Amino acid sequence: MTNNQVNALVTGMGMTTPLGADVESTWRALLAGESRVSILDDEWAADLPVKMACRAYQDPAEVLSGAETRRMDRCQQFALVAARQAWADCGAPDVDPDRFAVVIGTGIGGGLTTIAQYDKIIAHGSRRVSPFTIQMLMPNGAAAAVALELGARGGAHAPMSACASGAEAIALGLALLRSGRADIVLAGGTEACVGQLSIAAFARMGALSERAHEPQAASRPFDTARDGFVLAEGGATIVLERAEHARARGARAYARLAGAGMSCDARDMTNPHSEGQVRAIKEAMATADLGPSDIEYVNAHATGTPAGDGVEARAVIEAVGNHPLVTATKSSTGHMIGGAGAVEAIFTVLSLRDSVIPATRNLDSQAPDIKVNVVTGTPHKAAVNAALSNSFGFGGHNVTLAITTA
Amino acid sequence: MSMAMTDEDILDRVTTIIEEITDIPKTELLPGKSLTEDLEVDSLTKIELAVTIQDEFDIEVEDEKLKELKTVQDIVDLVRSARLATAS
Repeated sequence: MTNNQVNALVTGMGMTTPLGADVESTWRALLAGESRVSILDDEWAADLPVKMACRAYQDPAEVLSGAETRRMDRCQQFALVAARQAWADCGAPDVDPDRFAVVIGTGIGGGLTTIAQYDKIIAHGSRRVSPFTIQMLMPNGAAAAVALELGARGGAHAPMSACASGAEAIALGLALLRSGRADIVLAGGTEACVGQLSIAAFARMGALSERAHEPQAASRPFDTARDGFVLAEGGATIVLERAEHARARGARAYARLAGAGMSCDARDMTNPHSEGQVRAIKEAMATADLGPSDIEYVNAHATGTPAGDGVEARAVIEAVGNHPLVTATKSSTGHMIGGAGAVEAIFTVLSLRDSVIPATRNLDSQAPDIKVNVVTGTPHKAAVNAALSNSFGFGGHNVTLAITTA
Repeated sequence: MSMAMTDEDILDRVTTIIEEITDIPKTELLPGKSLTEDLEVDSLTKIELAVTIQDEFDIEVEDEKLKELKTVQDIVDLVRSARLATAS
């Protein structure tokens, strides 16, 4: 990443998650320590070994038109809802469309559409396939739909790095500002894969919690009894803007995206490795001109899998130390896959804004392999000036964002 | 679905479907309206309409017939004849 001197401000935020239909309601529910894991009583779930997930608090059909709902995959719908919120939040400015870009990542893209349309072929033949199938299933569909909506002509990009996609989109948004390609970028992530195939497949890997007798306690990052993540759906986007551009129009800045690090383990497809994570964390700090002692808080990727949380805790200690406060917000939200990194980047911004760090839910007994300083019980009130948000994904993708006060 | 369906019943359901797909108020969807010129239905939307109508009325429509659809009434006529063909 070049030219660290380009100052990138967060001037708008939007999200739709299992905890709420927008940023502020989600944040309130998170600080209240809520969890919205639900038991799946759908017919398609009957045969599944895991029958729980965190569905979006608000069905996007409630705020989109009938045509938008029918012609967009659910992951695109979440992205559009979050993008409209973020754009309104930043003041919906008139911008040079050629200097305005969109970056929206997704882990799985239009998987629900693919399956639904294939089911139609099997049941009724090819003539019943929607003519909008391709634009709904293509993984760049969310970025394209948002660019179309907002008239962003400077580029529409769709990074795919599984559970790191949302954070990678934000990192690439920063790169677009720092390389001089754009003055303003709407970036984020989205996912909608609560369905039969994805749950069956994640469960076959042993990635999902099976704590069905106690669903609200199933997502328990860093806990001794953690046994996997709880699948969730939702999306989030932020508006990133060059400081000069933001100042010229009198925009309010929530925080500064000071740096970003990206790496690949290149060791194993699904087993994470701390060495690659350390490199991403160190790069994020270096590009932000921050040292380990500057970092006061880390929003961890921590999904609640037995292997992943321990690897991340070791990486944080090696790259930063054991002084920062750490929290795992997936304990409340569940794991939004490609949406997670963007949702958690916003949580990190809000911790800086409100001087409060959410607690990690369901942490009854911190596992012995977790040596970091985890916030538990109730939210921790403290001014935060510099924080990191980690996102790691299958494929060995590691992304860390460094966020500071504006 | 009851087989006793009048043209008015079919028109009512067809216009409900068109309203859902195009966001054009049902009150404007008069039988003689041209799909492309009056309602600005593009080619993909026309196929979406056809797919939805096949699903809703449980009928089969050949691709060749789709090209002949010009007006709202053409869709009603198509549904009526397809239902008769299915019933026979």
